[in-house]
Amino acid sequence: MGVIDHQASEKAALILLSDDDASVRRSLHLLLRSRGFGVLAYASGTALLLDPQMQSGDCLVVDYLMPDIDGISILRQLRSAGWCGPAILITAHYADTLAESAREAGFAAVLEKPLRDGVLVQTIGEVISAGRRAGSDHC
Amino acid sequence: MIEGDKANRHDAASGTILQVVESAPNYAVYALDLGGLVTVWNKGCEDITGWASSDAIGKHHSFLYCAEDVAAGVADRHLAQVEQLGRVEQESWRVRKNGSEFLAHLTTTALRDETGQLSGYGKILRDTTDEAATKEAIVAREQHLQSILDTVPDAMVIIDERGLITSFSAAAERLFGYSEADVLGANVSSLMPSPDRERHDSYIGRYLSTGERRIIGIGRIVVGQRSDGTTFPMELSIGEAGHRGYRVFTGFIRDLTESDRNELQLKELQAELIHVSRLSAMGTMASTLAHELNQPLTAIANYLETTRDLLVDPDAETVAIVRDALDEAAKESHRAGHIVRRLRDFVARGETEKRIEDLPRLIEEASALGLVGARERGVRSFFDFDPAASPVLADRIQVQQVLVNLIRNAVEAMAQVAIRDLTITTRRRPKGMVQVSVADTGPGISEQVAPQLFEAFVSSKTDGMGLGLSICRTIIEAHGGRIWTEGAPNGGAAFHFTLMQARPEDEHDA
Repeated sequence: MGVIDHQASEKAALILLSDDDASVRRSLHLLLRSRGFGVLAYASGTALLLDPQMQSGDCLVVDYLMPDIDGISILRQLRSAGWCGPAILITAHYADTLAESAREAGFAAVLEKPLRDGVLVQTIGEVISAGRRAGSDHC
Repeated sequence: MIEGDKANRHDAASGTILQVVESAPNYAVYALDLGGLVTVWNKGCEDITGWASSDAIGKHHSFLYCAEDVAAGVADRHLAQVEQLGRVEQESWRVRKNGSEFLAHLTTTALRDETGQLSGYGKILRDTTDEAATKEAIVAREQHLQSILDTVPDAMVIIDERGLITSFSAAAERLFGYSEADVLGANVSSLMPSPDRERHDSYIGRYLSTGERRIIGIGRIVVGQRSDGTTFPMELSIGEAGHRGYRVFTGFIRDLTESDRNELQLKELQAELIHVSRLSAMGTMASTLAHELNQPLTAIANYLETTRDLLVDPDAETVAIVRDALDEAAKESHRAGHIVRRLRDFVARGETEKRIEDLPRLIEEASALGLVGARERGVRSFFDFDPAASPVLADRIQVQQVLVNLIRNAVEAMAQVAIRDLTITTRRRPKGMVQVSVADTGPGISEQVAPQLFEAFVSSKTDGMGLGLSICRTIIEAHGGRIWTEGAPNGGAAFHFTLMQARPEDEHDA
């Protein structure tokens, strides 16, 4: 039995991850990888948008406040580039107004940092399966 | 000529090395010149980083670093460090061509020419993101397990096949008074008093060789010993895991000092109350029955007096009357006998639920409870079990109550004497009976008290109601046995009681 539990039934979901805080980004990278997800992690939103591979991502996990471009704008640009996957916004500056504009922009969930044990992994599972049920209606 | 040969061999060797380097797909092997520009770039480099050799050759190696590391000058400092140390191994994050990150394990070696002059840097890089994630998952799982162990209220001790402790939970630390560091690698027998302490290795050995389970998966009450030498009763259940040469045994331990002492006290109180209420009911019953018994007795007396008078001058007619009167008297005496039987049935009515019980085990459990604190008071206990004197038909809890009572009495009786030995013996007796004896080395029982010892409300103790032994008698008699006392051979007191031995055919009723 491997320690990394690769989801048996389906191909491992690929997570697009971007947070300018290296310690958060890298610890989430290892955490998600250890839970069997594929991970593409970028130090900046610009790097993510410039990577043609991002089209194959199954779910976006992105920080709101980043120096080059904020998380909501990243999702807007991904949508206009034709990417239809579910998205989760993580932020240390949670506010109801932010959560509202995030949902309007198409985020399926907004999580407050620090992330409690297991919340992110659980939410990723939920938004991916909700997205599958609904078809690609995120666009 | 000779120089040329050398050069050829050199070329051939480096050609082989290049092939080896090229064929290592999971390893990125590349080289830098003194200025940090890429001079060699194998296929593995392209697989891992996404950069083709045409992109990479001639580029400054900082393109592999994260932007913030480049800004901080990490890439240049790194080469200076390698020059100084000759070789540097590190694990750090790098960036692929597509901008995504990976965790890299890097070995960088300073390359020198024949004269020892630095000529460049050789690098071997491996993507270790998954290895790190695996390690993280293992650590997380261990922490999770540890957090469970830390919060489980029952103490947990894991041992290997040799009986050596490999894990000791936080609750075990509290219970036994040792820290995990103290006992890791120690024999688990150090957590128990004699005689188990000396025998525990052979218990494991016997199980490993015969597979016969005496405690694993069954659980029983045994005695544990704390770091300060004091002992306590505990409920032990053992699970087994692993296979072939690496088996571990996990013991879950519940301290019974408080819980069972309370439970036992409650049961004792309950038994006393039931007994008292039965006694008072018996009192009411007795006066009713005395009245009822008076009727037939009066009638019998009347008939007998009448016949006596008639027989002064008997004729044929009187003889017939006398016969009728004696018939009536006989009937009345049967009626009286019936009333007496009703009384006996009432007294004997108890709620015993008898099952087939292993007698040594029943006694060992009762001793673990009855001897709480006894070892600390210098009491030595001895057991002498007749293998033929088991199993018995008994209500386990009730008989254990009798034993605990007798053991406590014995321990209390020995408080003032120098030698404090308690001996519990079992013997097979005729007519399918088994005898259990509890003997002490106390002052013995005075001849005044001895005859009424088992009566209710008779006590030599100041704080007793005098019900203990009377309840013992009720219990033993309800089991079809008998309880009595006599002087022990060595001057103390000995209490004996008998139980019915269980025959194999009783199995069906159990």
